[in-house]
Amino acid sequence: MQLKPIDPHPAENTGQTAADSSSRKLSSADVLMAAAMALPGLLALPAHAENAPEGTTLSFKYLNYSDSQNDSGNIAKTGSGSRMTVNAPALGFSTGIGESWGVDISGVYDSVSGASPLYHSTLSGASGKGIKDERKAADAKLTRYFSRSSVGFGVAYSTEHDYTSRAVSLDYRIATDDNNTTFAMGTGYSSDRIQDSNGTVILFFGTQQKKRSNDFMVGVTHNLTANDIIQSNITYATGKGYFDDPYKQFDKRPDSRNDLAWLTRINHYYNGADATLNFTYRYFTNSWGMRAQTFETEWRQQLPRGWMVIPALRYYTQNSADFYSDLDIQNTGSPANLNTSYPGITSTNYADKPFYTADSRLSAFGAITPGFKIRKEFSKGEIADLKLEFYQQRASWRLGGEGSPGIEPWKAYIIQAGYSKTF
Amino acid sequence: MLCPHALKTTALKLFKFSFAAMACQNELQFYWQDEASAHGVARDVIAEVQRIEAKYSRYRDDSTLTGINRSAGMAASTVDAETAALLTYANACYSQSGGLFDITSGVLRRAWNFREPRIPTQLELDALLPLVGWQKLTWQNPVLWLPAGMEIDFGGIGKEYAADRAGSVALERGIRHGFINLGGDIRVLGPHPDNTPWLIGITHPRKNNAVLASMAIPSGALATSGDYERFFELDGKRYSHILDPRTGYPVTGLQSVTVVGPLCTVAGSLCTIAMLKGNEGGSFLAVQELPWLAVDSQGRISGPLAVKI
Repeated sequence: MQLKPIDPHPAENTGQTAADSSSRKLSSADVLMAAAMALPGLLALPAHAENAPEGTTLSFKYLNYSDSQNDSGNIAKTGSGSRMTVNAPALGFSTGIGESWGVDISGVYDSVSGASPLYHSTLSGASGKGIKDERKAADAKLTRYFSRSSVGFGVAYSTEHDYTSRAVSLDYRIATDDNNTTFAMGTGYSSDRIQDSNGTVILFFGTQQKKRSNDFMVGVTHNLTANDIIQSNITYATGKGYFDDPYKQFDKRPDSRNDLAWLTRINHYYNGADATLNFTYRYFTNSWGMRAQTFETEWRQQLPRGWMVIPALRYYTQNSADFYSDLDIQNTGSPANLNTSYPGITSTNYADKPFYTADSRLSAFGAITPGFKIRKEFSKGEIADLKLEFYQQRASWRLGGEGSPGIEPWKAYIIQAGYSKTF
Repeated sequence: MLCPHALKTTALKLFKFSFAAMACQNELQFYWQDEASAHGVARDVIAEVQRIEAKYSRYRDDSTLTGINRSAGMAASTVDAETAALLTYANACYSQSGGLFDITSGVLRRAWNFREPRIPTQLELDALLPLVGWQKLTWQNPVLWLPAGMEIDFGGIGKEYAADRAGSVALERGIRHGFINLGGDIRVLGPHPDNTPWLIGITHPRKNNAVLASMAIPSGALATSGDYERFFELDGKRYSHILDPRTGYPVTGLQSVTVVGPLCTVAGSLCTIAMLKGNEGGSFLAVQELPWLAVDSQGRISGPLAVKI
C-alpha cells in the first residue's frame, strides 16, 4: 500500500518551478502533511480494501520458466543442461457489480516440455522419455462487500492429463472502525484425483487415486504508523489420500499430511525516497518432519512518469522429510542399478520400510532467488510489467548445516510479462 | 456472461444533505444511484463528523477533550491513538508557525467575548497569558501533562480533520463524485461524473453574501480562514477571533486566506498560520508549493489563485 498523498492538484498555478523546490528545505506544508499522515484514517484512498472493484479490469500475463542442472556424470539423473520449459499464458477478468459485489475470474494454460531428471525431479510428471504436458486451470471468485467487511466465495478447477483438482474457498475480512486493523479468515477444501495417463509412463498404483485437503487461515494486517504496515497470517492445512509420486517406483509417503505456515510481513514507506521496503519471513513445518524458512526482501521504488522498479531477494531453506533417503553418490543412477542408488532403500528392503522417497523436493537444501521487476503505469488503469527471476538451489546452502548429498545445483530462470487495463 | 458496461451506465443522481454540527451549517453532496441507500451512506458520513465533534467538543462535559482539560494540574492524561496523533499534529503546527499556532491559546477567549464589543484590559490578558504556551505542557506520546489552569482545544484543526475523516468514510462507502463542506472547510471526494470539477465559491471577506472568487476543484481539499467569522468592530477597528498567543490580541494584516491542498487538515492549518502571521502571511504561503489566495487588510488579493479570478 502506498501512503502517498492524494493528488493535490497543486500543479497549475503555484508559481513555483521544480528548481525552486529542490534547492529548499522542507516547506511547512511538507512537514504538516507528514504529521497529518499520522492521523488515523485520513488517507482512505479510493483503493481501500473493502471496496468492490471499480470498473472492469482485464489482465494478461505470460510466464516462461526454464531450468537446468549441472551435468557432472555420476549423479542419478538424466539428460543434459536445459531440461524443462514451462510456458504459461494467463488471462484475468475482474469487475464490480454495483457498489457491493465483485467478480474475479482467471484462467491459465501451462504447457510443459522437456526432459526432467529421472529420479530427482522438481516437477511431477517426469519421465526419462521426456515429457510434454498441459495444464488448464480456471478459478472464479464472487465477493460481497459491506461497509467494513467482505465475504468471498471461490471455486477453482485445474486439469492435467493425469491430475485433476477441484477446490472451493470461503473467506471473510473485517476492518476496525479506524481502518487501522484488518482481520481475515478463510477456509478451503480441495479434492484431487490422480489417474493413469495414456501409457507413456508407468504409474505405480494402477488405478485412480484421490487426495482431499482442507485449509484454514487467520490473519491480521495492522497499520503501525502512516508509513508502516505489519501483516501476519497463519495457515493450517490437513490432507488425506495419495501423496506419492506415481512415476517413481521407490516412493511411498504417508497418506496424510498436516502443514502449518506462519507468514509475517513488514512494509515501510520512505517519504523522502518515495519507496517501500518490505520484508517477509515465513516459517513452515509439517507432519512429515519438514521445516522450511523463507526470508524475502523487496524494494519498491517509485520513479517519475509512472515507472516503478522492484529489486528483490529471496532465500529459502528446508530440511528433508523424515523418510527422505539420501542418494548414494557412489553409484550411477542408471535404471539398471536403480535399486542400489538409494542406500536406505533396496529392492530387498524397501518393502519393510513404511515410507521412503528420493524426491529432491523433499531433500534438504537452500535456494537463493534474486529478482528484478519493472513496472510502468501508462495512464490511470493501464499497467505493464516485466519480471525476471533467477532461482538457484544448492544442498550446501541449507541454513545451519549441509543439505542432502548427491544433488547437483539446480537453476531456473523465470520471466514474466504482464499487462492490465481497467475500463 | 456478465455485461459490465451495461451495469456501469446506471444513472447517477446528485444528492444534497445539509446538517448542523461543530457550530456550523454543513453540507454533503454526492452522486449515487438510488435514494434509499444514499441516505444510509450520508448518515454514515455525517455520523463521523458527529463522532469527532462529540469527542473534541470543548462545550461537552463528557468529551475526551474536556476530560483532558479537567485533569490539568492534577494528573497526566494517557490519550488514545487518535488524540495522540492530533496532539502530534498540533505540535507540528506550533513549530511550523514559529509558536503562533498554539492549541493552548483558547483560554484567551475568557477575556475576548465576541458577542459584545469590549476590549479586555491588559490586566485581564496578563492574568491569562501565563496559561498560554504549548512549550509549557509536556507531551510525551501517549501521555499529556497540562499545568494547572491550562487548556487545549482543537479549534483550527478539529473541523478540518473531521472533513478529511468524513471524506474517508465517504470514499470507503463508495462515493466517487461529491464533496463535504464543514463551515467552509471542504474536502472534495471526486469531480462530477462527467469529470468536470466542482466550482467552489470563496466568501468575500467584507461584502455580505458576495463571492470573492470561484475555484474549480476536481479533488483534494480547500480551506478558508478569515477575520470575518467571529469579530466585533469598535471605533472603526476590527477585532477578530484569531488571537496572537504572544500578545493575547487579535491578529491584523489579512482579511482572508484560502489554501488548496491534498488534505483539508493541512490546507486549514496553513490558512490559520498565514492569518496569524499577518503581513508575513503571504510570504509564508509563497513557499508552500500549494495554491493559495490571500486578501490583505487593504482588500488587495494576492497568491497564485488570484490569477484565476
